[in-house]
Amino acid sequence: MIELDIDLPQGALLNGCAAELSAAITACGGTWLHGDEASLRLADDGETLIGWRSMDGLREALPIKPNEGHGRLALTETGQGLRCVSGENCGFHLAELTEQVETFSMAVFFHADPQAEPRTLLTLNGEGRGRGSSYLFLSDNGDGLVVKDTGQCLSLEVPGPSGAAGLRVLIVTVSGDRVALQEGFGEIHTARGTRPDLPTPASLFIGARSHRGGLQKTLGASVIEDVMFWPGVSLLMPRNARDEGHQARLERFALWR
Amino acid sequence: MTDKREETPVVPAVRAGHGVLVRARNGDVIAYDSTGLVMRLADKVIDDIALRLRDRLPVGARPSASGDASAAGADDLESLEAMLDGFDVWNIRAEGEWLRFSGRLPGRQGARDFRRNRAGGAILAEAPGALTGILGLGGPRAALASPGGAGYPFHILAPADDIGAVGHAGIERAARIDLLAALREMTHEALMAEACLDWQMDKHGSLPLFVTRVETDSSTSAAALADGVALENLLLAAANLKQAAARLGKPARIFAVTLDFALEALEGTATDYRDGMIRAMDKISTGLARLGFERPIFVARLEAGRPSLISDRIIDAQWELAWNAGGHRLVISAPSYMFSLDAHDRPTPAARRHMAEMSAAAVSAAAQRALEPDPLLDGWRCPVFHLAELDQRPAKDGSVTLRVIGRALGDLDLTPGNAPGGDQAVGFTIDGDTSGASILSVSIDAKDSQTLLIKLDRRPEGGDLRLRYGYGAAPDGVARVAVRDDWQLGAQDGRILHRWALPCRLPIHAGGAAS
Repeated sequence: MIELDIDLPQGALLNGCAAELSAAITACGGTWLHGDEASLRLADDGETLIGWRSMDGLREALPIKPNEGHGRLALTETGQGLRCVSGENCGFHLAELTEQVETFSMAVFFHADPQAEPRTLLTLNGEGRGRGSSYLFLSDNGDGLVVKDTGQCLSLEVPGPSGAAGLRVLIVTVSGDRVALQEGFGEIHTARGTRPDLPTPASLFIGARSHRGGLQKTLGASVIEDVMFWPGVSLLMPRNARDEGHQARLERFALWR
Repeated sequence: MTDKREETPVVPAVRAGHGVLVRARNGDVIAYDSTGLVMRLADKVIDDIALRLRDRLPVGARPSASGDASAAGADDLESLEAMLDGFDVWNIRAEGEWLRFSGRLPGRQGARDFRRNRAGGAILAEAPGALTGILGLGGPRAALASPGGAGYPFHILAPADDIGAVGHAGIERAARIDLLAALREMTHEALMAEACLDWQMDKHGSLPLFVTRVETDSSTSAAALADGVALENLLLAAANLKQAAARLGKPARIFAVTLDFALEALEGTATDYRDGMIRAMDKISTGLARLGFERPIFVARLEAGRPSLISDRIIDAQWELAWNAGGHRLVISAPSYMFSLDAHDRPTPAARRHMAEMSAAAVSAAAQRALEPDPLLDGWRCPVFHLAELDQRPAKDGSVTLRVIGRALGDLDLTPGNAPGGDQAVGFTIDGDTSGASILSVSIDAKDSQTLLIKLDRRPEGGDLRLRYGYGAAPDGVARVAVRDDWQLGAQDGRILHRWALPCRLPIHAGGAAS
């Protein structure tokens, strides 16, 4: 390997897209959890995840109550992240992340386990103190993708096998009474319902749905390597150049990921 | 994804075939992966490439404005017309994302309708029924393919990932793709599809659209095969089949999954092999069920190998699996001794077609039965010998009779040992005998057409007496006989194919009445 003792502009660096994406997410008030050594905080045993710092260092996702040291570090061929195990609560949450539940987008990069369904990946839910009664979750049930809220206002199901190996990415946008879902920058599926009654301030749950132990069958197997949240941004149903810019930066990051 | 929780993480796993070539102080600049160099080019370089590629992109690869197919439609149609220039085609038209036409194109399929996706991929025959997959799993031998396309170039296809019918050889993971490509080489699975289409053609039956793919890796045990990349890639091929069918507006089904992994099993015992293969079949069945496919029919040959290279362990291993496939629908299409090999131990082109005809016939027969297999009454089985009993008392002339109880779907028939058609003759041998007994005759029991009587000049003695048939060095003289049942099939090249008995090495027991 040739090592150059110079600093190059971000555009010439292979991970330059990551810096651009990170800056844009921070600028819109969003958060990005990326699976790398600097961000994943481990217990002394070297494998139990006790914290996951955001790229900009402003926030940290912490284990939820039922996750009593179940969340472990996993190394994959594309990086590292949080290993979720079927039937065990390995969940983390970014507490009181946003007040903006009218329009937002979220994305998750993950590996599925060929032997088990990934199940719950992301959930926007409250800490139980604020207003709002339902929560909205994204789940891969093995035979299809589901994004819906428990108040039955928005529901989008994309049936079909999800046997893809390797790193997968799912993107969700909620905007008013519409919801959209996309896998791997393929077809964008949309559905229209009514405005969900989501709690504010809302927390982002990763690999789980709430602080309660929850149904075992909602807890699947996956390795989650990136989690992103954009308040006020509609990635999949872009309304302006700003939304399109966010979408392009994410797609470019995924291409070089 | 293996469970790494037991290990202490040290460094992130490095992606195989990936690395960095040039690193600046603040980050990586030039890297490589298995497909080439990785670097980011400046905007003006991209602009220059766009200018230079403008007139060079092949039909289908031309980007259509934000996926709006109709906007690019006229252009696509022109390109298709240009591509088909000189062929006998008519009625070219665009329908949605498909360009359709009628024509008389090369191949045995005759005049019919065809279609091609605007996004590219192969020209496909318009065919009734499901998009039908023949998938294969095996070791490097299974990746053998004859160069050249199919006799039905628009009916036998592979996923359009530019890899053809021979899969990724375990080197990398298969991509997700829902388009299909024509074949440039014919694998066992592609030849099976061709045999099926030939039979359908002969009886004016429907000609379904086939997708074939064999995935291999270099596992040296059945357990490793069950956990290997080849199996993952096979399931990806099945997912691609499903997606391609959806894009065509057809259902998807799987005709058979071929298994070609026996001589490669260098490690483990016979039962290890059986358990590993059952686990591989478990994983395939589960994966296919998850995609919405029915329980597949697995088809394999019983590999007898070269006489000097085959071990008893490999025969025992396959024998174990043939008897107990863990509830899977495994049919053994043929013993390999009926096929001839070239100087490099590869089946000859003629033998490869015969192999495919036997596999296709076996699967077709098995498919007509109910889903629950009955190992003794299934729609297809090669004759097997499952008991060898030595008569207690010698006959008046001093000879001793060894009764070999067989099981077959028809009457057994004896032929000279070189009749099966391989390069090596086969026959019966007593292994482990210390008394010097020799075989005087082999005949079929007049009272039971599935029992053989082997007459010996004296009682064999030994701690581990075995009757060997169908593999290893062939005996001389009267013991050089081959056994088949009464099934037969005319091969494409005119040869008559028979269903020959499976190789075995049966323990010889004392018992039975005097002859």
